[in-house]
Order: sequence, then structure tokens, then C-alpha cells
Amino acid sequence: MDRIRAETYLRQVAEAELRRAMNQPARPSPIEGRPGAGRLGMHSMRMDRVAHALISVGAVERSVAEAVDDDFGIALAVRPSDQSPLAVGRAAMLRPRIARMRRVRTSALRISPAPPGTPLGSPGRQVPHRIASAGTMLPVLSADDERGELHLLAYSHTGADARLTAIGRSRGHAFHPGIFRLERLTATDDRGNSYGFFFNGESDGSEWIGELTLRPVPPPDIRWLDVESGHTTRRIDLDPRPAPSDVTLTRDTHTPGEHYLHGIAAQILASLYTDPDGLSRQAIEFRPILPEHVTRGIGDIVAALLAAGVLSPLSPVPGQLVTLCESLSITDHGIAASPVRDLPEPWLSMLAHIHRRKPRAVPAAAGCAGAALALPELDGIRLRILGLHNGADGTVLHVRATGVRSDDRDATLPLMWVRDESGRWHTTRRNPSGMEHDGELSARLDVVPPLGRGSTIELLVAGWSAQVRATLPLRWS
Amino acid sequence: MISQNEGWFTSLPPCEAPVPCGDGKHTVRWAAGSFELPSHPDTEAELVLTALGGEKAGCVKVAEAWHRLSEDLSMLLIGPRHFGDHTTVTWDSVRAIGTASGQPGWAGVAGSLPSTRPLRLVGGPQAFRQAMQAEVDRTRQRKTDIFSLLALGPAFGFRLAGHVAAAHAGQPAEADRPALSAAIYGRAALIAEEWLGIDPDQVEGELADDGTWGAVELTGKGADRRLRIALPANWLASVWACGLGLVARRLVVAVTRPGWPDAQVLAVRAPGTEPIPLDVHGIVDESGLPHWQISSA
Repeated sequence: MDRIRAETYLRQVAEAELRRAMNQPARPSPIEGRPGAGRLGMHSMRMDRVAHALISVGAVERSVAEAVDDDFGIALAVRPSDQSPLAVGRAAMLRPRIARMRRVRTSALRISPAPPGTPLGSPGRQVPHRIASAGTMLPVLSADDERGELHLLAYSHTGADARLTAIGRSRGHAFHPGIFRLERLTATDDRGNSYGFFFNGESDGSEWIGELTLRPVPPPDIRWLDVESGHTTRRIDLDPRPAPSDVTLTRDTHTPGEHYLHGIAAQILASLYTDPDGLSRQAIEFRPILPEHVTRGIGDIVAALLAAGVLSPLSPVPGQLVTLCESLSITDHGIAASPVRDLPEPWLSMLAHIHRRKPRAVPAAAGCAGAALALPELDGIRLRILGLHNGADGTVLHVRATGVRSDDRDATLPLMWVRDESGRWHTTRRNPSGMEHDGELSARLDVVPPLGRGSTIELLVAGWSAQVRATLPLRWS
Repeated sequence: MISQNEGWFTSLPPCEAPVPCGDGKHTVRWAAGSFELPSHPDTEAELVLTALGGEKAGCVKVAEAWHRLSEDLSMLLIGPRHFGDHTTVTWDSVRAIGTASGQPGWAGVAGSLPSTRPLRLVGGPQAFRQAMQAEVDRTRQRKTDIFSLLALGPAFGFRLAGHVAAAHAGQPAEADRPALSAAIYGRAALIAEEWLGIDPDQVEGELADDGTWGAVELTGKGADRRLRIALPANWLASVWACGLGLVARRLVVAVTRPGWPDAQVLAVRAPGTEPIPLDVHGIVDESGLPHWQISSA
């Protein structure tokens, strides 16, 4: 890796962007956004794209990129240029669609019956991480006897806390933890210890996605947990089970640059699917034209990765990306490589699906599936799969990540592809929502296109240092 | 043969600019590498008075800014690229930064400032507040410095860039090479456009080792045409900052005998050719920018 050349490339992009801004004031400015428009909030989308790539592969420190952008911002600001409403309007269009469903955060109500005193587990001691699939539904009632469902997907005891990943649903009322009195939930373990719950999560009306955190913290080696809603009890078996039979890790499958380009391919493929009515991603359709910020200037990123020495000039991935773009009629990619015929299996599978133009082939299949799987460490990050559900958001995979830098909530997680039982591949994209606890990151991955209801899925999880293939059994509730 | 960094400014005439100072305006002057305050002959005595509670003179503030930034590589990214590269900075906008709010009148000039970067701190609330205030003060001071020097106009901007480049030329530190290399690229690309009519995006600029004049090579045709220009860091100071980048449709790559108004340079007529000595003669325009022509070939 050549960090000097990487920073030089970023600075040369700044020079080129400044030159355009100076020379072409009457034309639409290449300075597409104000700070905040891109993932790093830089003063130009092109800078933002290149900086994000170089930071992600470790070729440029974030602080260095920010310092370059600060100076670039001053250089732009002191020169007459086309900072017109046109440019500002375009920036607004490029902002991430953060609140597609205007989720409402609900958090941290408490609990009975156990006082939040001394943890039953040994305080301060490092607890071995433990996860278990739940896959059960607990009926809950509101104060006016409205029926609701609380789906418990997985149990995880990581770091300082133990939690249940949960989905709340109702047919009448909006599902709000307060309305359905989740504070009255209790739990008992095999030793007779009693627990209450803190809960936090987000609600979009009929669906609540969140976590129930046990108080006090249970011992690390309890065998089961009975969760009770007043009139119904569900047992979650926490006994260690045989590990899934086929978790395989393969090292050195890609260079950091290739891995980053695979992420771009996943982003392109995910961006092709859209929900035109804005109500349900189950009613998904194809986007006729991809947003410019997804496709434009990929060549800049390839050039930056080459300059940084994290992508070999002999790598097939830029050519594969050209094939992907051209087969989707994307012409503004700017990659100076010839197309190649052999594509990675997930890309090919998704392209075939897209070209068959059967976006609605997957039937709407609302449901929640318990699942638990700890993946081997990838690029310093450990991912744990904690359930999956099909709902208003389409298919969502719940994951918890440890090893993510605490100051970087937008950190790139390992790239995940999903293969369903019919052999078709799906990609994933990070849902902007998520929660952070004690340096751990809870994230949701939208599976695109949504999954049907099968008994297993295969995961292909790729980092720049290795990739993991694993089969994940699903317990639908 | 190749000029050294010391004395790079020998090929530059003096220049002057008015600066708000007290209730009026004074002239500040750059000559032979020095920033001078003709209206303040005893600057040291004035600084003593300032330390005792007097107000610092506007001219002195600008001189201090000059010295603070004369080795700051950021100025190569912020400062001018060519003679027509004017900024919108005025002394009113500089004053606005210096006020308590710092914002009125400023936002229109530099809406992207102040920095939006998160401040990462450890310690209690008191330490946090102190660190925040220190960061705010540091940012404001730096902005005031930068804008004060930009308000002096492009003649000073070229000379400041020359000082910055000269301070880092010779044996550039590894960490400085990206900024120097990009500065050469950004300026050489614009000169190449004027020289050969090539699209600046088809130019590749890089840092050559000092002690050589570098290389200029043209390859490919049409959209694949590429002009590779490699020049040493001292080119920024001794050639570009002195307005010598392009003389009579020749690319100047080095100064062999610096001087004003007569100098001798090495220049290439076309890519791929060796540079030849050229005697040049300069005149200065009313803004203090030098313009050169061949005195004999």
C-alpha cells in the first residue's frame, strides 16, 4: 500500500475539482453538494467518493482527508463560482434517504420486578460471548385488550449486557412498547432468577423493531429463559448447540481494493430495486435509471485504488464492474478497463434475475425467523447474526458487530451476500437505523430483493482479508 | 546550474498593498523575500506596547499572519493558480471573522466554514469547554490569517506560495510530498492547457527529484492523449511563483540565473525535447504581477 500516492491522488482530485469550479461557472457545477451531501460530507461528491474509498481501504487517514477537504472548502469558498440554487437543490436530492418510514425511536423504559441492582453475573468480568436462536412469538395485549405479537428472534449475551432481538406487531393499534406494556414483561431462568427488561428500538407504526435488555444481567451460563407476558410464557433454550456444519473461512480472496469494488457492485445491484408506492418493499420494482451518485465516477475510485497500490493493474474486478455497468446500460462509470465475461456468482445471479424482469416473483411473506450465528473475525470485525424478519421494510437481517471503531458509526461492515434455497443470490445494504451499546454496533441489513420463507439461507460474508461461507438455519415464528 | 531555494525570489519585483490600520490605511510591502511595514518603522516597540494593553496595529497583524502561514502547505491548495485567479475576499470579510460572532458578512464569502468536523476529546466538562474554546479560537485565528493574506491580492498570493514551496523544497519530507506534487499538478495542468491546448484532465503532474529539471512527455492521441509533467518542488518557487511558467509559448522548467528584470531560464519548446537556455526580460503590471518575454533566444 502506498499512502503517499494515495494522498497525492486525493489532492489531485481536489485540484481538478477546483479547476472545474473556476473555469466553468456558467455550467452546472461539478461541486454537487454542500458538506453533508456525501458519506463523508465533503465539498464535492467526487472528492467524497475518492476519499471514502481510500479511507475504507486504509490508504488515507480520515483526519488527513478531512484536512484536505477543509482547505479545498476554503479554496472554493473564496472564489466566485456557481454555488447556485441548482447545485444546492441537487445536493438535497443526494442526501441519504434516512427516514424512509419515519421511524420513531422508543427507548429505555423500565421494568419490573427485579431491581436494577447488582448483576447476577459477575460484574466487571469479561463474559464469553454467547448467542442463541429464539424464533418464538409471545402474544401481548394492550391496555384496551388490543392483540399484539412480540417475536423474539435471538438471545445474545455480549459485552456487558444480555438482550433479545425483538419485533413487535399489531393489526389495529400502532405497535408501541408503551401501549403494549412491554414494561410488564418478565423472565425467569433455570436457576429461578427473575429479570425485567429495558427496551429500545424504533417504530414505524404497525411494526416495532428493537431489543429487550435483561436487568439484572444474567449469569453467562444459564440454560434457558422463560419470557412471560402475564398470561403466556415462552421458553428460549440457551443450551449450546452444535455449530452449523459448514462455516468455512477462506483467506486472501480479494485485495482491499477488489473488496471495495465488490461493495460498489452490491450498491449498484441493490439500487436497482425500489418500492414505487413507498409503503412496502415487498411490492418492489426496478428503477429505470440509477441515481447518478451510485454510478458516476467509479473510474475515479478505480484509479485511486490503483494509485494507492491496493488494487493490482491485473485484477479482473474493474473489468467485471465494467461488464456489470454496461449490462445495466450504465454509461457514466468512467472505468478505463475492458469488460470481462466471467462475473462473480452473486452478480451473475442477480443480473439474470433483473434481466428476467420479475421483480414481484417473491411473494409477500411476512414473518420473523429466529437465527443465531457467530461468524469468524473479518478485518477485525466480528459479526453475529441475530435473526431475520420480513415486514414493512422488506427482508431485514439483524446483526451485531464488535470491533468497529467506536468513533465510526458509519464504518463499512463486511459485505454480505445471501443465497436462498432456490439458489438465487441476494445482496444486502446497510439500513441507516441501528443502535450502539458499549462499543458494539447493532445494525440492520436490508436483503435485496426480499427473501421468501425458507428453512435455511447461505451467507457469503466478505472482508478484504478473508471471506466466510455459512449456512444459517431459520426458525420461523 | 539549477537555482537553489535560497534567493528564489530574486526574479520577482517588489509589490505593495493597502491594509486597514487604525482609522486609515497603510501600505504593506514585499521586497526581496521580506514582508515590510513602511508605516511602522519600529515594530518591536509597537509589540511591547501591545503587550501592555495597547491595540495591535492592523499592519502588524497581517505581518504576523504572513509569518505564521509562510511555511503552511495549505496555502498551496487555497492560494492562486494563475494570474486571473482572483478571490472574493475583502477587508470587510476579514473584519467580520475577527468580530465576536465571526459570522455576519462572513457566511456569504465562505459558507463552508467553520469546520464541521467532530471534536474528539477526553476529560471532564471543564476540560471539554476549554478545549472547545481553544479550538474555536485557533480556527478563527487561522481563518483571519488566511483571509487577511488573500485580501492582499494575487501578487502577494504568488509570493506567499513561493515562500511555502521554497520552505519545503530541497529534500521534501515524505509527508509533504503529496501537497507539493498536487500543487505542481494543479498549476502545470493549467499552463499546459495554454501551452499546448491540451485538456487539463489529460495532464499528469508529479514531483521530480530536486537536482534534475524533471520530464515532459506526451503520449497517445485524441481522448487517450496524456501529458506527463514531472518537476521538482523548487519549480513552484523559482519558476511558477515568479510568473515564469510559460514564456513565449515555452514551458520554463528551471531558472539558471535569477534576477529582475533580466533572468536566464531553461525552457522546453515541445514535449519530449531537452530544455534550452533562454534569456528573459520582465515587466510588472499595476497589481505587482510580473510578465516575461524573451530578450534573446
